[in-house]
Amino acid sequence: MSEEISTKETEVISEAGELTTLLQEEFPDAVSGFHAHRGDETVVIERDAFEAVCRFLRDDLRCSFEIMMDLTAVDRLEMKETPRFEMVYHFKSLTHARRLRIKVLLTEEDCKIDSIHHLWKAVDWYERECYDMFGIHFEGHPDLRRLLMYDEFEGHPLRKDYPIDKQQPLLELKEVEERHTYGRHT
Amino acid sequence: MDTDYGGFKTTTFDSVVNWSRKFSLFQYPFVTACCGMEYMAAACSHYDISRFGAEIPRFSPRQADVLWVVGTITHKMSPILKTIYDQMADPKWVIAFGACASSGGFYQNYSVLQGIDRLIPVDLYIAGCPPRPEAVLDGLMELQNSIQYDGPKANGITPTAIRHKDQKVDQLNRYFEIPKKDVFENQQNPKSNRLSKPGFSYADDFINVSPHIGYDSPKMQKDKAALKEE
Repeated sequence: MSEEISTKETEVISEAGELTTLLQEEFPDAVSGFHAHRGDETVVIERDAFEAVCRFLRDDLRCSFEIMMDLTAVDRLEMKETPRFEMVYHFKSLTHARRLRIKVLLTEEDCKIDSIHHLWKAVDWYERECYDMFGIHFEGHPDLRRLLMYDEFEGHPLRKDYPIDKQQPLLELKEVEERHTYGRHT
Repeated sequence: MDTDYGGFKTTTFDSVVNWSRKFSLFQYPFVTACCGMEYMAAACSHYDISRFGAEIPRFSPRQADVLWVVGTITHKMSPILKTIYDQMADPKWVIAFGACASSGGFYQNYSVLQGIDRLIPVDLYIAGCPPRPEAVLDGLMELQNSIQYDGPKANGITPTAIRHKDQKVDQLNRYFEIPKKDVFENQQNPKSNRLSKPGFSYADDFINVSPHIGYDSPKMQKDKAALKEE
């Protein structure tokens, strides 16, 4: 394993990039960690300052991130890390031609985060999907319903403690007599 | 069955009706996934499914004879599929097209129905992920054979099977009899172990399903009444 591949080491070694320094100056209490990898910066933000940081990233001319590219959550249950959830946001600036990754850590008991749908309209359905799959609550979202699964579905299927083959059929299903597993003779 | 009497050809009424049925299949393509591409390839002029009399897709289930379930069916989609099937007029046939419709394919997860035969009766399974157009045409010809010789089906059971119930049970038991040394436990789906265990037999009520078919000869009605009394 070289230094570049190991995330832990780069996190320690890497120097604060341009955007990280900027955020550290503007929000000295909010930045709780950072790393950079080949020019792409990642900044870990405290949850309370998240909405303000996003507004700054969009409106400030040194950042001007016009596009929210992606939003998802990571369930770190099996990685044995605390807190359990990690929100990941990707932003892209067309003006400066660069990207930024923002991470926010959420505990299992209190997995709420401010919705940023009023800053980027695209966020709306991403947040609904994330709520559907991981059960993260986005405070201030206008219509936080399930996006992919049906309303009768219980639980959040991409959480690591959801059983991998548990199904919740809508209709009564027949039992099927034969199913062959392919070549699995034990 | 067919005999030549000096220029006249005699046959049974069933045989003629089934012959006309098998060459005028109106299809309802229920396309949800990538298998649809292969269905389109089979339907277009290179492979030309119209050579087999199955050229017209109907986009209303009430006009269709064959329901092609082409692609992955999720639990969210299952009520829609069930409704479509219920709307079709008898006699009707169902084809499970490809691995996902037949068994769920490689999606063994929270969202995908593990084979549409858990929901509706299926007459024919076409293997492949997705199947080649040749496999599709082969499957279609198999279905046509089944229509010609078994007649219309209701709930996946042919009237022939009901008339000869005991023979059918024997036949199925003989077919699915598994030698003792080959018995293995299915870890992934324990329900399927029932079949491979010694002493398994098909229950009578699995076979004895009353068909609801468009026409019944008086003899058939008598037979059915006799069967019900049994």
